[in-house]
Amino acid sequence: MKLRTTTIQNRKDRPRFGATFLAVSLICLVGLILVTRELRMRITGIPQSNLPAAGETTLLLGVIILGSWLSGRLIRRIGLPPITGQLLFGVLVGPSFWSWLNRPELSLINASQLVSLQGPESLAVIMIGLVAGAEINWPFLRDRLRVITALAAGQMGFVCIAVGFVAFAFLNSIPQAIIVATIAATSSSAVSVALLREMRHPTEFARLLLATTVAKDLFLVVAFSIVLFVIAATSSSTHIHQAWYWIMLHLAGSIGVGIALAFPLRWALARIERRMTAVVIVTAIFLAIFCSTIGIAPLITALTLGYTARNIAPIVTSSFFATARRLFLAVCCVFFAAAGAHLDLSALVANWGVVFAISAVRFAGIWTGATIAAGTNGLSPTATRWAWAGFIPQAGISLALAAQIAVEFPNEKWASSLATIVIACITLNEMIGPILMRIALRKVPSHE
Amino acid sequence: MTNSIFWLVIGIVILVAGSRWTERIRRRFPISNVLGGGWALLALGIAIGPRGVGVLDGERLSQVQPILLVLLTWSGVIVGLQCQATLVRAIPNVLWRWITFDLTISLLMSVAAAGLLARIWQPDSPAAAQILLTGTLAAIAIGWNPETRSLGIRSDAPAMRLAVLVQSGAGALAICSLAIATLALQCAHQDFSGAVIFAPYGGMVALAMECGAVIVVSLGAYGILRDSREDDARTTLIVIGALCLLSGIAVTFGGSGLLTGLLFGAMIGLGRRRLRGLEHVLSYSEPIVASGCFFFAGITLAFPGGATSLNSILIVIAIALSLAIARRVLKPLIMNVALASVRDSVALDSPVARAPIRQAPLTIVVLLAFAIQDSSGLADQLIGLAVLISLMSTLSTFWPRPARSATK
Repeated sequence: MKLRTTTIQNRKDRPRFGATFLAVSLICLVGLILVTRELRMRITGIPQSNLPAAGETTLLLGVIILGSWLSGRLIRRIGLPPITGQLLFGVLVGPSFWSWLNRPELSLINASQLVSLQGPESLAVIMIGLVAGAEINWPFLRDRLRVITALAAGQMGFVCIAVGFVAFAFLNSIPQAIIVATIAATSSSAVSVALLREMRHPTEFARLLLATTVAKDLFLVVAFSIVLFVIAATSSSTHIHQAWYWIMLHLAGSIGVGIALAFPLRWALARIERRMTAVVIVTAIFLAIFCSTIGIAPLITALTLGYTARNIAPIVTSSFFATARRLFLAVCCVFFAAAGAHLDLSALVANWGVVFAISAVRFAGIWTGATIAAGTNGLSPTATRWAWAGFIPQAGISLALAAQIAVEFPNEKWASSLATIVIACITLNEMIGPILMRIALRKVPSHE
Repeated sequence: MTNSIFWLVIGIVILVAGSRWTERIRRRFPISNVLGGGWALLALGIAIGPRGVGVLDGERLSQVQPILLVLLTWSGVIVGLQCQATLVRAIPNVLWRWITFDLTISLLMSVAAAGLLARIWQPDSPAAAQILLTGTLAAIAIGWNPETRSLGIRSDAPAMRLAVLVQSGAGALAICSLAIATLALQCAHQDFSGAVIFAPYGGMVALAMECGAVIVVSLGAYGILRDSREDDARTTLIVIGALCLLSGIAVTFGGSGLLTGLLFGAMIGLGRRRLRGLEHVLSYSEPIVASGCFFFAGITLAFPGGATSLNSILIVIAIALSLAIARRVLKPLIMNVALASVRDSVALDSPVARAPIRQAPLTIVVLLAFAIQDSSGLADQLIGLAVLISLMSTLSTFWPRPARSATK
């Protein structure tokens, strides 16, 4: 009897998907696409379709969803977070890696094909925002407000000062150093929520990291807007009203629309019981359209909407957010693989000196600020030791802010080179950040 | 801004189609198959499409083609998943006979109707056009609507037995109809100039490649889904990923996704273990997929013959009417002949016996798959023809009123 029990237990503990199965599936998937394309080009007489672009979009989406999920599972077998696998898959199939190796023809997705994935990507951003917002509840925020404020302020202070000095040493410009320092202080809500959702039972520590990241990013978006406004005001080549417009939209617009939309959403959800998957997708499509039409930030709007809806009507919205979490796995696969495909490896290699210096100082700044803030605000010794690791990842918001540099200063020569350096730093943090955060979440016990 | 409104309309349409209000309306009316089951959405598609008020034009339609492709593949999977080993083994001999009779007579009828239509259409290559039209008309003729609720429920055993036979037969014939139509479309197709050509070699090569790809994807998906143990998130991910991949592969080889979806569904269905998570996801999504297809069909369809002159309108209405009358006469006849040996155990006089008269809703999906590959406008007109036949055949089930049966 004991032997039988042990056998059943062993069978239960056995991983469901072996590394060989995952690797073979991944190879088959990529091979299938390559063979399909090659045969289509070589063999004549196959019926011509009028839908090459639409077919290409669905094909790429299928490859990205399945390929990044398989890569995530595969990389998890060696103890790394699935996000890293998804990012790596994106890098391997994207144009940047193969261009860097001078073999652009080998990339599965070229630069023009990446454009066709913008729609699914924007939906993914909205879904991440909704789920991240819904993870933060008001009682938790109220009880932990002091710790969250301290953690956010501690990091921002240290990172801004340290990175600011290093950036000034390399770039020899105070405005540029301030821009780099502000972006360096941001973290990734998307990575935080993805790692949090990966846990079967999200811990208090994970929720604390997510809440701090969200609060910090919201503050930094405002701060970045003010920084840009001040620099634009002192620069004769940029229109001041553009900077004001941007601030108003990203601050008041995004948050205001998010709060305002929570009430009609609650009204609708109180009347809809079935087809919740369709409701979630339609809401995401509506938000994506609305944000792009009036020019507000989709991630902040979705975050605010998720947070407000979850807190004003927790029971009515529970089914909605449960469905959003069910779709979250697919969303993460698209988002992180697309993020990997967008990574600019050549920029990282070209600016490796300044990138490593800035990243090292950012790392030190986050470690110092987070450790001091956690230690002085009553977090457990283990949580204090590992709190810093949750703020290393960078992704969506950081990239959006980096892209804004070139938009705000289109006539300045320094703008594009500065954006390249910042994006290269984000690339590095995007690759190593999830690994460190996963280690931190595993080290800190669930009751702390 | 118009683009945003367009996307919003699509979203609201899908939402309304899947809502409980739509379902309530559909159940309330006795003629639910006309008002519900996607017909209202078809009408909405006509109203806002390029042939209606024109809110949606060709450019915006091209932006949603990926969604349409996935919907078509999804429909194929839903049909293919009925092909389960246990279900196939459970089909009685009498049903096999019914299926064979219906298939043979419908194909013969399609060949005759295609000959007639080819004369009116006057294509460059009559043989290729004949094959193409036979395939598409076979999709119209083969099978019937599996829905029996709206015909009136009689709870006695013979009526229930007939309802089961009607539904099972509709499922099996849906597979045949889809396979025949997509094979015909694969072999006889339009080239770059829009002329219809017969290219069996190219079609078969493409089909072989699609099959190879489907086998690889199905085996991988089955392996993952089998071990997923009802994990909803993972099942959703694999389903979405596989559907996107299969529709992309189908388009790459000149198909539409219906056939690859059908093969994928059949392979998953024939697997040793039933994948209840997948079945749940698919059955849950079925009304939404159907509604989406009908909405797109409404946008796409054109009046057969172009409605340029009274003559052409009359010809088209005559063709539709003759095909609807053929259904009204032949389908009950086929049923009576096929089920003659079990006449005592099934209620051939019950309202359910009128179900085979109505055209299968899958017809619209098959023609939609043809429409997205067709640049000549022929498919758009065929959708119009199919809608006319479908309406006429549905209405013909109400006349003459069935006599009250003594069986309670």
